[in-house]
Amino acid sequence: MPKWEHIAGLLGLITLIVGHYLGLFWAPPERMMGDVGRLFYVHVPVAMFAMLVFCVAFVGALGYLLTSRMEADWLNEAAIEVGVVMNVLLLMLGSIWGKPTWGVWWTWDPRLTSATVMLLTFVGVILLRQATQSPEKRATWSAVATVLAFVNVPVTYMSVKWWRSIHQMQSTPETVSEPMVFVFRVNLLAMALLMTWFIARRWRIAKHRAMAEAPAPLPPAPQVTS
Amino acid sequence: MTPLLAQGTGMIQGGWEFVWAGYGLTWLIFGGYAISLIVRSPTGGDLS
Repeated sequence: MPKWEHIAGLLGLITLIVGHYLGLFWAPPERMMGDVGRLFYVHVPVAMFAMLVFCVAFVGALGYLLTSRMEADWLNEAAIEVGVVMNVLLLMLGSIWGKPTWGVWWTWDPRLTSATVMLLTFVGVILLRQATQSPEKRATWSAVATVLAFVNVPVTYMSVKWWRSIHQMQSTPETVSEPMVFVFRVNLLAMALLMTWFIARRWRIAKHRAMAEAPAPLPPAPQVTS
Repeated sequence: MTPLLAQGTGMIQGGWEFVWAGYGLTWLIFGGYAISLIVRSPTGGDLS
């Protein structure tokens, strides 16, 4: 494994510890949500990177469709799995935050519903991959399915603007106090480093599996003497 | 009371159990996934 992956993973871990410490004990309570607002520093970075990682999967899918290179398919496979893990965490964190602020664990709001559809469609891509034996067919079908599933990612992002939603719209540095922006950025950096490590590590697993299932080379043809 | 005054102006009190649950869950899922990546990697538990 390249040295940069170790460094990214280790830095990600250290930054996450620092970011969570700042979020829990240093950042001020949110003006209306009080201490519950500290969930901002975990929920929002996870949401942003769930969608970004699905963007990486989309790039991998397009890369395979345009070049037929298996490296792009491995990227697609790796990013979809990491994205699904992030999407599951995103929905759980949203539910935990929703109870003290909205009074319910779950509601069929446009943002929550589109984020759930996002999870289900990418789980569908994983199931499709597992049901396909041929590596070439698997890569092609997975790439096409990823492109289709990806249509919902911008919809999920824009859902709070397009429809009446209980979920708040995206915050900006102008709407959040300076200490909150600082803590948020530390946690974003942690997430970026950890996602890099997760995807790189998962890409390597995909590559190893592809090599293992590749057919053994044919034995040399017998010499024909006349 | 005017509609403006009828709006809530206070701050949610407490709720630390939700905060701990959220942060704890994040560590649980990230830790679990990181372990699964190490276990499934071609070199097994060897990080090199």
